[in-house]
Amino acid sequence: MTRWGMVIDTDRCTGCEACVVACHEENNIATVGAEEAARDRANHWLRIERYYEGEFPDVKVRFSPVLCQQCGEAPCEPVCPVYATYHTDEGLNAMVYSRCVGTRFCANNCPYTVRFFNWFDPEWDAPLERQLNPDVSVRTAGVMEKCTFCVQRIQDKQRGAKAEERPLEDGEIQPACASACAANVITFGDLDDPESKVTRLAHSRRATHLLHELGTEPAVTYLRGEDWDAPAERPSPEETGGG
Amino acid sequence: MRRRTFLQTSALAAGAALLEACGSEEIVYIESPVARRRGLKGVGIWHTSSCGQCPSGCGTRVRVIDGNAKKVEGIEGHPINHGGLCALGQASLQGLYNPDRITTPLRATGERGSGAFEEIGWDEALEIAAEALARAAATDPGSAGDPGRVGLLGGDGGGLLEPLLKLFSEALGVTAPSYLRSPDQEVERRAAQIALGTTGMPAYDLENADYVLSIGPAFLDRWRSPVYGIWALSQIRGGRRGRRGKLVQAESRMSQTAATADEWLPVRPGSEGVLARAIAGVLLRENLAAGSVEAYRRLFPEPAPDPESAAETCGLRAKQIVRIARELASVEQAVVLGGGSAALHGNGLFNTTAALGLNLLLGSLGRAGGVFEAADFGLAERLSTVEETSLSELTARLAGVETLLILEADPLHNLPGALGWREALAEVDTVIAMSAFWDDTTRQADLVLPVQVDVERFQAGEAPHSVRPVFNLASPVVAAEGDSRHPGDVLLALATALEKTETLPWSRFSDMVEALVREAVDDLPGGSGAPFRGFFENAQDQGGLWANDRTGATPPGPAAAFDGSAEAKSGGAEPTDEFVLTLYESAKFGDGRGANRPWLQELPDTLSTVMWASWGEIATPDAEALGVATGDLLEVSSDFGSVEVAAIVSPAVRPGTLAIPLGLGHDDFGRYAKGRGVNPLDLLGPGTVDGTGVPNLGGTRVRLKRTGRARVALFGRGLRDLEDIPTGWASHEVTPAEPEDKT
Repeated sequence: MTRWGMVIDTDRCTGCEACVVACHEENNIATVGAEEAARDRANHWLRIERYYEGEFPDVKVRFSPVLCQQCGEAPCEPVCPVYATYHTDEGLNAMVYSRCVGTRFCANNCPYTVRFFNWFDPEWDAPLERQLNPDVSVRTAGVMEKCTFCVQRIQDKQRGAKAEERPLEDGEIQPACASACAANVITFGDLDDPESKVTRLAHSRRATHLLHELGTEPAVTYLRGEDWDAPAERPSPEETGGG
Repeated sequence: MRRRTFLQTSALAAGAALLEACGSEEIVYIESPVARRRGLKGVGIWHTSSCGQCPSGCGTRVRVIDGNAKKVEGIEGHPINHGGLCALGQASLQGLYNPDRITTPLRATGERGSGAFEEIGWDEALEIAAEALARAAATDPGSAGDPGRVGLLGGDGGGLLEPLLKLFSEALGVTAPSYLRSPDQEVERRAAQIALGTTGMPAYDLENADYVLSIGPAFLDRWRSPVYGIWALSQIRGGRRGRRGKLVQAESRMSQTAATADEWLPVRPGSEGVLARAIAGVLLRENLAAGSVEAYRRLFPEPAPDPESAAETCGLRAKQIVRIARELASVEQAVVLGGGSAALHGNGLFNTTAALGLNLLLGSLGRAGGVFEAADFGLAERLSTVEETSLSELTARLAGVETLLILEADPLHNLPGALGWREALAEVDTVIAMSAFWDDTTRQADLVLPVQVDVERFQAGEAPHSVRPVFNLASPVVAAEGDSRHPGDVLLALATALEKTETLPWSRFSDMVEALVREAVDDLPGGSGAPFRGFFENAQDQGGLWANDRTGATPPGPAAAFDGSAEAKSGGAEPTDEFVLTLYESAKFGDGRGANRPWLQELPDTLSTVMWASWGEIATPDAEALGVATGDLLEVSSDFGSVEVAAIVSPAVRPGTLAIPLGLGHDDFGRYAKGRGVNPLDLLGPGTVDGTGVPNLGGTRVRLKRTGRARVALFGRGLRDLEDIPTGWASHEVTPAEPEDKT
């Protein structure tokens, strides 16, 4: 079997947000404008979380890209009254847009707040619509949407491999966020393949999961940051105390 | 039949039908002398191109379906961007398909700036432009000491358009063009000349460095190619097994670079040079210099400040300064970057020279992980060796200019209003703007010549800041919108109309590039002995030509001492009743060029999460003292102007400072940018960076006042205001620990 998963190495993430724009570009995510954005109605399937630690001048900032965690035990799935959100055989937490009736129960139940509701029919001022990706359906008002792990790219590569009668290669599928990143922060692949890069990285000593205590079994693993290899030279308590 | 099997079979059948259909329907979507692009209807093809959103020269590939561009990505293995792109580059297609693009030549019909234009044909437009240029050149072409009546201004992203514009000035016999670039670049170039003895720009071999001390440049935000910086950081942090480097960012503002760094030194704005000198002092006193003490003493003969007094000036801790100096000396390959925000103060030349000078002591000149002369194939110099005119010279003589030709530059938005461009432009008889967008300057033009954007163009240009030569070369991947033309073709058409074909014999930019490559072919990788046509076309197919090895020359070192007393001007303590203003190019808007893309407007700024607005970053204690909360609108005023921004209260801001991003507050620039946010350059006076003539963007004193109003769009606000909800990091036990492959 295949179980799609992702590893995000926060050690290398600079918060540049190229992945966020790439996601919009690939997935036909509409912008909502300044007024509606101020009402919390902007849609970003992928966002960069920013955390502050410490006090000035010893303050530290950490970035973390957050997207749908494609949970193995997804809290969004059982609450959908119409089975619009469901689990695929390949571990994706999928959405059937045409089934969605917009109860928003799924968004309410998602601890990662990565689901977005379309308050309006999307609009693109002509000729911006010429950029739209024909591989991804455009969502209408009243429908939930979220990260799909770029399922259209997965299917495209699967079809290609099938047509050529060969197995998919590890690393062949690159979601738009992963391919945008110069730092290779994001690794995508099959978690059921013990040899895949994503599996190896997911077993790193730096691996964590967001809110793992909730038991959602996310398919996204985060790798924590590391320190410079010179422990003897780190700031002494005396120094950080103002000495 | 099971439902799934039925669906799978149907999908296969549909796929087969599609393939069959594809096989029968070939479409040609560009058929021009410079390119022929064809494909199967409905099938995506990736074409190589080059990113034109900034001058750095990242290689791109563009997915095209039925003649429409759908997605831009980086070229794997390209020596600048290594497969990645920045947010601005990703959003380039919203420039291509911008609803407010200019796609036909226009002549102003009403009062200048009224926005009244009429469409005209290219023949008429070129005739008007040629006539205006000829008239001004005939009145007074300029001579030694007399700049004449023609003004030429280029932008920063021209590639080989830059020398073409110089050649154009030669052909007309008028004063050489000026170029509107990020102002810190000129300071950095001068500082490198003084400290390192380079002639052009310094280039850094960051990916091989063990320790990077960046004094000023936010090189992961928007400085040169941030994509190269981001890739290099990934190499420093994990691309080299067993060798993790360190990044220390000395910058008054918490930029994304400072946030990503292993350590942030929140140096007091304007005192960056003192910090660099103090670090040098430690290296000298403790005999830690691996490089040339003699060369450093030639640059700075006077003794360096001691860490204690420097710490006081810089608002840092003395022990921190000493430790950083010792760390720099403890690794083999340390390098110091200078420029960026440190270059934009009145004493910016000193700050940058002092920072770059540290490389002399560290022995970083011309060795792996160090600093080099930027490498190139010398193509621009083959076209023209004319020295450009400085922007300050053009600004000074603007009142006497009769015809001003502006090629993809927006001085009205990008220069402080106090420099007087708006007033001076009103006095120029004829302003000709070559632009794809209604930027603030184009709005004031008498004649608008619409130009193609990057993916529509034949592109050729050398990456300006690389340690290995990179020549980007790409033919158009989509047909041009409307009646827009290649800016190079327009210049050549003007030259023909002015009967200057002796100097400019080509009718197309691509012909000029081909002739140039033919002439230089033996010096280009793979060019010697190869059949030219195939070589030239292959180069376009792969996005250009580059050398695999570093070829940047080793900087010779300083010839003389730094001549300036700017050290004395370095900041001092923040005033008690005023704030020190820091202006910066944000990753999403740059100098303002990204403001007309809805993706970027709605992109939450990484640190502030602000969308669709300008903001000012203020320290938590300052905000408490003023009674200001995040989102409150602040009136920011200086002796020269005032603007309103939403306050972003942050623990990661140096108290006494206020930082506002550049790039918003356009007069026009289309529906997404017009009137949105503020241009903080309105707060600046006419001051310059000492010894350079470059506008001084740093250190302006401003006063803050609450307006009593509040409004700002923040993304994920609800989530972050509730600190106790279970969001964020949680440790997780997993089966340890297979060998980690981080390459």
